[in-house]
Amino acid sequence: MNANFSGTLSPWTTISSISQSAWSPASGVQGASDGYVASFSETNRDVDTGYGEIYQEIFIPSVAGSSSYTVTVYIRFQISRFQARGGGSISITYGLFNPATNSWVCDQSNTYQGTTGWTSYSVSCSISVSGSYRLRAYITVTNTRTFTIYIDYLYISVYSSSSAVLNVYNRDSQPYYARLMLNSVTGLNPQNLFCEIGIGDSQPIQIRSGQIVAGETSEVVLSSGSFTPINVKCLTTSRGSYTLTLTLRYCTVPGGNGVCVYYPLTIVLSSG
Amino acid sequence: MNKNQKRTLLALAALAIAVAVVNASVFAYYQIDVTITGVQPPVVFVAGNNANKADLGAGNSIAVALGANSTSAAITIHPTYQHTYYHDVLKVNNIDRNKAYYVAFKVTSAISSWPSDSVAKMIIYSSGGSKVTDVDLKANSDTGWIGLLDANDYYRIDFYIYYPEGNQLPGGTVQVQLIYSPQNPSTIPTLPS
Repeated sequence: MNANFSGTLSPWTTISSISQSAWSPASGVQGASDGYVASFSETNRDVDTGYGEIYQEIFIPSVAGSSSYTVTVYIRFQISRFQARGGGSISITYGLFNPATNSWVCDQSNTYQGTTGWTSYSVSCSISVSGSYRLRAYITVTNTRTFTIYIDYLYISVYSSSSAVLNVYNRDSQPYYARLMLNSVTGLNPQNLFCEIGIGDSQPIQIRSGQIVAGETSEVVLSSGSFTPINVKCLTTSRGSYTLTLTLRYCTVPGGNGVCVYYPLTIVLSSG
Repeated sequence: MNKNQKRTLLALAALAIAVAVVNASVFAYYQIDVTITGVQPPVVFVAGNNANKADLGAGNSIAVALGANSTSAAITIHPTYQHTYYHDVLKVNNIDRNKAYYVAFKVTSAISSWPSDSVAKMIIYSSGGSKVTDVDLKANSDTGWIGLLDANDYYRIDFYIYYPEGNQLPGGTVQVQLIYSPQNPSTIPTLPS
């Protein structure tokens, strides 16, 4: 997920109801995790009520074998300047928004009447329908004159309900040492794909903006008689279908030595 | 048979008898001394690092049995469907202190009954880990000279099996010859039958 604001707000959409207030990227902000933030501010101008909104369209794809998802939205922000006109406040609501129903799927709000330090929150919910959503933060200002809100990051993680779309069963009497290896990612807009794919408690394969950050999992032990889940957590920022081809490798000894068997695995993600 | 024919037949018989008498009359004998002195095999098989270690399936091992003088090897592996790779099963060691040998492999009895899209290969690596060649175990053919194995050097032998699912499990025996020579003639000689 494009969570940070590295000198640009693209591909984020920003809206402001306050004529002279604007969203902008800012850098070098003290305490920001990577130095870049999205900034929403007003200086020496009376605002009775107004709002600012930042969101990014996301598409949570369907994955065969998974019927529902656990979604968690993470945010970190700071109100660095705040001058009210008596009873003034700033409220921040963040979470997952369904534009089709014009309602929050899950959200959390916090209201402030002064500046804050860096503050991190997360909100989780379960959804059963893949499709189009917005990762969104919505700011309401009331009776203010000067304010600056920095958002350090806003991102989402999606887990299929069981966190497993497939299990690997070791029906032998000896353990095997297994890992998943990603061979290819194809689709109309692979740059919009974000995935984590793991086996058991492995370090996952990671795809960020279509780039393969980690092309294979760490190695896990398939104990004799055990079922080990293959976990697929993916979302996209555009509609489309994506095909991931992987290989499951399991070996008699650690590190890919001894005897190794390679099984092909294809995951088709369909979003929108 | 008329008289002329009888005469001709008698003349031919007399000629044949005369030639036979002449051929049997002289024999020449030349001496060739051949001294045969056996030598310890300069190139031998050595069990790989994974020889006799666990294989797929309960109780199975990557069975590697070497002959009494390490000039033969019998290998049993237990692949399954899809892709099975066996690392470092056998080594070919040149234990000669000084002499390098050209090496080739020849499949003399290939696997014949597997599905056409299956794969069975013996893969040869140098001691440095570089792949040298594949030996196709599904075809009776030789590799040609794959290289010059230096003194005190070795080749590592791996196996790769691809067996498509939906078929009966793979089985069979394949026979391969290791051939080595201090020379590298253009064609690898065939043993007399």
